[in-house]
Amino acid sequence: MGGNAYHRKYTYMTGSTVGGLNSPDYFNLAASVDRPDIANYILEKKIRSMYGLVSFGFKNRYFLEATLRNDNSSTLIQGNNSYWYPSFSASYVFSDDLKWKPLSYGKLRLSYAQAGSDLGVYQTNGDLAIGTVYTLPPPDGETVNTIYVRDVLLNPDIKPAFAHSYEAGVDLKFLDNRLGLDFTWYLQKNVNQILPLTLSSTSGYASTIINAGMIRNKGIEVSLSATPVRNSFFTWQTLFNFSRNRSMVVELADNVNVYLHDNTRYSQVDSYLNSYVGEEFGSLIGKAYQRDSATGMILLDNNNMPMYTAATHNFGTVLPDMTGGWQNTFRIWKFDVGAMIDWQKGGQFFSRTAMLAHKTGIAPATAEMNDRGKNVRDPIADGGGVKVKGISNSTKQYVEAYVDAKTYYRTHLGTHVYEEWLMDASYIKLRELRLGYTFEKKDLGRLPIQSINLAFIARNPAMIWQKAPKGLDPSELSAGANSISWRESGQANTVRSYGVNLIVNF
Amino acid sequence: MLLFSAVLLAGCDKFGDINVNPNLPSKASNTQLIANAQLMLPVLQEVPQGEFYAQYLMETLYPNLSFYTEPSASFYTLYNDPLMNLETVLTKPEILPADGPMANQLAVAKVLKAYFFWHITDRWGDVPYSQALKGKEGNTTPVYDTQESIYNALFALLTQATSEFVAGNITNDIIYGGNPDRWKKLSNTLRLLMALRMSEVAPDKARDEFQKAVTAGVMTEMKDNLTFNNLADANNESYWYNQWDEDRLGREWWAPTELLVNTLKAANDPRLPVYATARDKDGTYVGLPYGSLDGSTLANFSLLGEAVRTQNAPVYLVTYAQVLFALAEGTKRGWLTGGDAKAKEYYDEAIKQSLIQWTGNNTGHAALIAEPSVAYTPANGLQQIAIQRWVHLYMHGFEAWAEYRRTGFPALVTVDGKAVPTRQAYPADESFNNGDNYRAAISRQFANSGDNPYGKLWWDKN
Repeated sequence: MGGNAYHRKYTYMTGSTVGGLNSPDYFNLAASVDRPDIANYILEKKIRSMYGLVSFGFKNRYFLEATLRNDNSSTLIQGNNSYWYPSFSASYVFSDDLKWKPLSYGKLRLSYAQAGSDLGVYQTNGDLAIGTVYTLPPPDGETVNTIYVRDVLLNPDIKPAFAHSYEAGVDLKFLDNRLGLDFTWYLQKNVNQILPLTLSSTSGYASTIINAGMIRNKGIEVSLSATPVRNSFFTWQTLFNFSRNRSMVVELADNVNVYLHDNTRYSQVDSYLNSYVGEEFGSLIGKAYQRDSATGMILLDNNNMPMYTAATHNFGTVLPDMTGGWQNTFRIWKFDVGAMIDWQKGGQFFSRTAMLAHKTGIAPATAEMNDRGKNVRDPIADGGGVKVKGISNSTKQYVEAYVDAKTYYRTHLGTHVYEEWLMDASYIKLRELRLGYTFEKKDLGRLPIQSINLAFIARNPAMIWQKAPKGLDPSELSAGANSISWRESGQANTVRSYGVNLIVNF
Repeated sequence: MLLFSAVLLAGCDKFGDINVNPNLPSKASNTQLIANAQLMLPVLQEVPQGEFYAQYLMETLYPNLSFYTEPSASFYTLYNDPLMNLETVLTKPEILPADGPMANQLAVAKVLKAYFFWHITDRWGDVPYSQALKGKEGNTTPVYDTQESIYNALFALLTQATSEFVAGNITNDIIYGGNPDRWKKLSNTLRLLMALRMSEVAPDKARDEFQKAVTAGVMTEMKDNLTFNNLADANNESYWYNQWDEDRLGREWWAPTELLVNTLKAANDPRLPVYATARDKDGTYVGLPYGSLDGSTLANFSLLGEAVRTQNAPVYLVTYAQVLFALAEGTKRGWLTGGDAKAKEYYDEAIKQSLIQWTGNNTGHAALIAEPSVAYTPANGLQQIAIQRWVHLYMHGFEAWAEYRRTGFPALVTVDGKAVPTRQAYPADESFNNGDNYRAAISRQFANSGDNPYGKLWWDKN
């Protein structure tokens, strides 16, 4: 049994000059030409908890553990701020009962856990904020300190969120632990999850926080391990694992069917990452080609340029079908060699780098040869131009024509047609390579050291295969504060790094 | 053991004031909220897209929006920022007599609310009004009201505001220093201009509201102008300065159009050097044809005038000259007495006030009103008023665009086969956030053509 008192206090103060410095090289807030930007901030939060844990073992085969916890959080309104949550887990090591020689270890496990979580600080109050200061010109000279109504609709009725997790699994090891198979199935229901929800600003507010009905996460994780070769000189261990996760918003709130995770705007064009109730998590929304409903071909306008939809086309989920890894370690005498591979099948992302490369005419495709043997940038009258094929929107006939490359890439594809820049995120990547050598005690003479391991490590040495075009790295999509990676914008080059690792055992 | 702990925990969920946010103010005076709403006034004009709809400016280096490629725009910030401030003042005012008469505080909020909503409905058409801004009361998906009903509601709101002003200034007023007489004149001026907007769709109602506004008292001098004065202060500087100046973003992206420059040149208009720069190539004034891709050679064209892009360039929103043009048109239409002679008087005076506003004095006025392309003739009265109004409204793209849609003048050009759009399409996120009402509004206004940038607004009947 135990208790916990959590008290967090955080303060900061920042200041920056605005409009320049009033004297060269005078780096001081007093140098600010215009009213400086000053902010001070304090954050304070307390959580008081109590918990108990009980565990039983029977005959070294049956195990049962149960916990119970109560949290009281300062960030929720009193009356809604105390919450209890239990967990149970049971396991049965059946290999001893089964007494089947090839099976060296077998365990069945089941668990159910609840976890409660609270809110960030200060979300239940604070509807005003300080606005820009305006100084009236002489003779008035009055300083007008403005204040505005924040565009977050506060929700004091927020309740704690709960995650209910169910898990079942089996761990098997065969042939004296030379072969292993672990399988886990999990289901997590996030009830009353505390989510920011975008609102129509016509209500006066851009967003609010709600307890979202239910968001469900389920999947499987499988890992296979084997030691195909094991002797005093050479050992090879391999581990292959994959997982498949499916998330869905089952219910949001009354009359709310869409949850906006993220959006981005460039050149006045928007794209969004939404989740819709009843559909898979994380749908990418943006402008697509307008297509003929019968043939699926792209519709062309009267200038033979492709037509595009508003930013409301749903491109489907960005989440991958499966992810996993494959790890191999070899021990050759005193050398150890390791290779770790990461892979992903499926998933998609939107590439702003590809879009801008074509928009600005840097991408090779914008200066390639067309099928008439001329550069696409040459005037159409001279045989240049990009070839387009589609259905004319006015005549409904099939059209093949050549269009001006700059207008095609710059004003149409590179600004509006996000469909063109959607990339498949599948990849197989070599994450780490390692070569090490172990010095054992007998090599080290009189030193009071048991062993020293010296290894050279290469990180991200190579991308073995990827579906996206070269130059983009689907494994390094930075999600920022978001939980889902769905786009890259000027992604930094992936870095390959080399290092040395030293482990000394005393 | 558990019982003991339960007792211990009894007082555990009380935390006092620790979760009250100390980083934000808990009280705001009405005038502070109103002042913050006023800070958003420049946004009604300092938007490149507005300049393209009125074809005042053409893009030089990266032509995109000027080709009408992006039909939609978002009204979200206008609702959740200034309008929400004003609505809070109107529905939950803080009683602070030290800030000036309460009646004036509320009346000023009403006038500004009407102005913002008028701007919004003239750009997009049917928009939420009666159910808008009620998120706290539980309505997060307001219905879209018809433009006609919004106009009626705004007339009522402004008429009410006009009658409520009392003597006594309010504090924190960025525009008029709190002077209620000027606010009253602005309120009536808005009624005047809104009435004129209805000239094609409801001429009788237009005439009635027009006459009522004139009787109630519209602007009588330039000091009555609704102008937002940007400051030589990075916190409140001109958008155009921020875009253009080499100490900021250094974007020399706009040139006045050929139509504008030629109209000014044909009349030797003294406003030309204010509106445009002389081109680098030879010091003459040459406008960039709207829709041309030649703007990338900056030296060949006049660029955005310097006066418009100083750090403290003023933003002219509703001006006395504009009122005079409206009076001229009202007289020409027979809504006011005096016939063409009186209309010409208003017209000439409007041009004079415009010269004073833009150049600082009325030098060259007499010559200007005698120029053949400018001189008022009864046969072409309405057309001339419309064209000179367009010249005067330089940089106030959205207002000039509204008047173009109403009158059909000046003769703006098509670009890439596309005419000037007649509205802006709704923000795409409305389809997620307020989908049912959004779709209902679209099918009510435009039948099957969707959120159409060429759909006609209620008052746009020609």
